[in-house]
Amino acid sequence: MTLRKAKKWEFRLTGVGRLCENARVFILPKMCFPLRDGVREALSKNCGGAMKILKIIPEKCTGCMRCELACSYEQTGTFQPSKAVIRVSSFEGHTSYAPYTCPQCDEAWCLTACPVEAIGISPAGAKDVADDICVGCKLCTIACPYGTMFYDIDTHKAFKCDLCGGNPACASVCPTDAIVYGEADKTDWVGPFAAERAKSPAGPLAGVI
Amino acid sequence: MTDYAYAGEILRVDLSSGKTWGEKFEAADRRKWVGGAGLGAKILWEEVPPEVGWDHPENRLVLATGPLAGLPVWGTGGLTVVTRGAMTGGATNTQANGFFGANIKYCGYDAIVFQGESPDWVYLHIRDDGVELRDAAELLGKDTWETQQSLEKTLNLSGHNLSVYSIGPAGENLVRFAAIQGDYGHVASKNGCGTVMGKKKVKAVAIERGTKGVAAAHPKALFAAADDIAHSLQTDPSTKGLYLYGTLGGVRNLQGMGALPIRNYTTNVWPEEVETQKWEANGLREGFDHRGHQCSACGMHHCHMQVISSGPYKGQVVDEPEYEGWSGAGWTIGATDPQQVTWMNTQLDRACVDVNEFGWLCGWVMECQQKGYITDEDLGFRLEWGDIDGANRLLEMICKREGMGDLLAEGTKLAAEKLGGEAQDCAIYTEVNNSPRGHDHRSRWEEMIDTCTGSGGTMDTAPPVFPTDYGLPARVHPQDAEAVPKHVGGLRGRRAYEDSLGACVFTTRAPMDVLCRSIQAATGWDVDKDEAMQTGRRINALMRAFNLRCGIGPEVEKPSRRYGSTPVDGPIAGVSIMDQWEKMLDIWYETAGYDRETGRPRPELLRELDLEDVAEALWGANV
Repeated sequence: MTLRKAKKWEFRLTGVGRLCENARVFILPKMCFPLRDGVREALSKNCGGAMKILKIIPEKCTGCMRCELACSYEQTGTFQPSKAVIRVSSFEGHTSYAPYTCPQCDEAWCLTACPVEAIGISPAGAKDVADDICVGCKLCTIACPYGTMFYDIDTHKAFKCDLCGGNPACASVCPTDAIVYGEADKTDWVGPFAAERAKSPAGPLAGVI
Repeated sequence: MTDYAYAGEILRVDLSSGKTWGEKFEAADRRKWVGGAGLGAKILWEEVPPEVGWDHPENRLVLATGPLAGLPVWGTGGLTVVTRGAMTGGATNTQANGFFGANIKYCGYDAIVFQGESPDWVYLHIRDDGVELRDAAELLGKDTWETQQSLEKTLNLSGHNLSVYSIGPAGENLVRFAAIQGDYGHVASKNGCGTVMGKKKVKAVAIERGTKGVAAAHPKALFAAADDIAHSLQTDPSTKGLYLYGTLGGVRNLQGMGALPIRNYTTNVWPEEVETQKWEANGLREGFDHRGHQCSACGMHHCHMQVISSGPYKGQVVDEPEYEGWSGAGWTIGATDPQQVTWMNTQLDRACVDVNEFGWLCGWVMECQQKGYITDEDLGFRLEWGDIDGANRLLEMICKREGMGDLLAEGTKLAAEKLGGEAQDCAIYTEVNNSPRGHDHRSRWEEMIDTCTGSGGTMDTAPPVFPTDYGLPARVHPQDAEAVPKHVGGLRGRRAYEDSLGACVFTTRAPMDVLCRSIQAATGWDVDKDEAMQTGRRINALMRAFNLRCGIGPEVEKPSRRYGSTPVDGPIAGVSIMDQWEKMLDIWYETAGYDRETGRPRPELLRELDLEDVAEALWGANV
């Protein structure tokens, strides 16, 4: 299972230009901590503007779970949805769905909570866990307000969405374009959707099955 | 590594003793039988001798998936049910989709095989390696949707994290055409597979989304092949309509060629008072508030949930009917209001019977009432054409086997034979008791001959998909007595192969080379379109051999009088299939490589298909 992280590092190291540009915040996660307060600004400056994140349009999701398959393949090399870092949540039983994953939030509570400074920011702008530093204490999974920090019972490490290094698999395989990788200034896509669907019996499909 | 694309294990469940164990799905068997229909046929042939009838405890009920299930090719949550079925008394090959195939493979199994008979009602719960038969007393009497809701509550799971495939009241009471339904609206309906499940006293199979992984031999190539299949589905003229609207377009398309069965085959003319726009594909979709309800990894705009927007059932959430539903719960019984038909379709899924067989049965009762062959007293009430509440009442009577419902629960053929005379003459069935699909096959000869000769409780070849892949013409005239049987016989095998993959037949409608690429990438085999066809023909031949061993031969390969009658009006008025029937069968047998006299696959064909033991069993050692 350690293989999977090794693969990722290797993948990123091929993007040498980008890597150099962001070396300060990326190459050694420990190095990003001196920047912890100003990390966002530093990143914005380096990336030259707003960052790209996963925009989720829950109204378009049909619950086929293809994103989970592609994501787990990127994470583990096999098709294993239990290791996916994007999960599809169901609303109203079997009539409406929404994928959710790490919104790469500004506050990054996972990052600030980590006692061993294992969480850094990747060139793609994703908060990412360095396997060789993570001690598997799960503090980040408690700190994360979105429930998108996961713990791998096989590797005993935390894991989360790393935006696949800037080419997210979930967005490229979604057949209905419910997941789009693009620039955005908002991070909570599912919240309003959930709130609307919770206003039962507002939606005609609400609560019937 | 040999486990690419397979979980590698078959879950065996002995209901008599309550024991469950895993059995290796040998790598050597995988390429020969693939999974799904192939794996099921093998188990049936090896483990169910002729003296074991459909209701015998030693009958096997195989719920299998295949190598593509749980992988990112569209529509790969497939379930194939294989058993000795209650309708024909022979082999069964019937499919449903949803998330069965994906969820069970993540639990580490490629198939579930039930044997024995449980002393009490149980359901099978699977959570990775944790397999348990649990008491189902609380689920009894519940319909299939209620069963799933109840188990979701019990197990505290929602969405696709739990797959439930169950029988409804019909299966519990051994209605002969009972089905197995799962994940709200996916039905394996043919040949009384739900009746077998009921006889074994298994109410449901509840599978939690497992935590294990499925590997592919060449994952990147698999994504590429999946994209190519998707592209073909989205752009090819033969599949674009399916991609956008599923099977909704069938109603108007088939009506145009006289293949929409209206009022039990009594007419082929669209009633003037019925608005055509409502029945176009977009009319049926947009006539309801609807939401996508896709199967595993699927991007088709096919399966949907919808809300009934007017009438007495306004506000109810139902599963958007397939074409077969619009036909079986609608046109066949004279109902032409989509709002009512969709409600009836879900009632049938919930009670869990085959929608086709119910259509033929209910339409027949309606016609018999109109003509006085079944009186109001016989039935207990008056059932007019298009009376949805009446049809639902009939369904309840059948499910509870109340009054005349007890006879009707035996299916159209047995009920009509019991009544005999003029009543029997207007019943739609096949002598082998395969339920015809919801078409008027008098204008689609390929499907009539396929339904009558099929060995799996329904058609074997099914509608031609890219026939040019195998050197056959892209289209033939649907009433051409020479070209039609050549097409049906010549394409025999493709469908059985698709049914073994754990995928959906709507998402495998791509050129065979493209489909094979996905299988190559998943399994690492160098399978090509010819091997695929050989494998499919092997499965078809084995199911036929099984049926012959059970005493089901060519003497029952014909339509009932009404099913094979001549249309009186509409686009093909006066065209008779029965005038050509024997000739068509001759050509079909020749093309398929089967013996016309005995119905047996010829020994040289069986040897070519690597079925030496079957050749010996059918023809003796020295042939």
